[in-house]
Amino acid sequence: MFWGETLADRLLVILATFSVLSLYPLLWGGQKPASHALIQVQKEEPRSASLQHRQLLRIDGKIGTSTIEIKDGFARFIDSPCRSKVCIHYGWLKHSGEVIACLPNSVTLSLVGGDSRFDSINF
Amino acid sequence: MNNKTLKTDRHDLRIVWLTSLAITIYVVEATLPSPLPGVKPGLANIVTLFTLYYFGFSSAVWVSLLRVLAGSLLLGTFLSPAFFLSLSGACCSLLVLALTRKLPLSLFGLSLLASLAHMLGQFFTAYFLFIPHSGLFHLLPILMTAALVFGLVSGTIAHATLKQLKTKPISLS
Repeated sequence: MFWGETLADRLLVILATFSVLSLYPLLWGGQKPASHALIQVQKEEPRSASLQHRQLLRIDGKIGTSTIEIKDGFARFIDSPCRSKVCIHYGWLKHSGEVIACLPNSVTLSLVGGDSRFDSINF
Repeated sequence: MNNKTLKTDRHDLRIVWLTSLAITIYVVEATLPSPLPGVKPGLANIVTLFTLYYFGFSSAVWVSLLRVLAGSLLLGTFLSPAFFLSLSGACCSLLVLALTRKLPLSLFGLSLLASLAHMLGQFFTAYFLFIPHSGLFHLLPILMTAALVFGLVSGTIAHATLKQLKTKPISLS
């Protein structure tokens, strides 16, 4: 296979391949599991729930009650009054920074923590 | 000083010929389906590289920027996000070519560098102007892999073409 005419070409190919490959662990790795779920209804103050305790949360939104399940560090929608059920089909959230927004019911579930962004959280 | 008409000389005509060649490739390539915005082979840049090789850097700048402008007018993307992505990519790869053309790299190496620079320029324009969300960085490894592969492909084509041109010389004046 042809991979360059001069020595500089070949060094460049090696260097470029190495740099591009190193982007994968750099930008895809290091996703930390979240510690808390934030649930926000419309413009209200978000409420926080620890991901460690297994629980079912019933959230009253704009058009009805959404049910969010939290289990073993994961969170998901398991019931929603919306028509499309996009929020349910999205499945489990695990990593800090992930978000599901159920727009018809104005309920937003987002995961935070795990990267020591907070020293403490008060309820 | 009385002569108010612009004279076209050989240099101008050469740039027009090369640019029209680049535009043709650019427009044909635009019809290919692409899995992600910004991911395409970028074969029109081979023309820029040949212009750089045979006629110097300033001609390459003309051919590259005119191609972006005229290509966007033909495709109807002038002043749209796609145009600015294309323009920033072209500027970025020209900048990198300006800095590296004195290095002992062949057209193959320059093609690879230009391709990577084009993608980085596009990516950061997209990030700062259009989608300033950190989630965009998850796309960067895929985009750069595409740029690497297409840079190697373009470089191989450029190398093979240059070899042909050297064995069967054509008039390039």
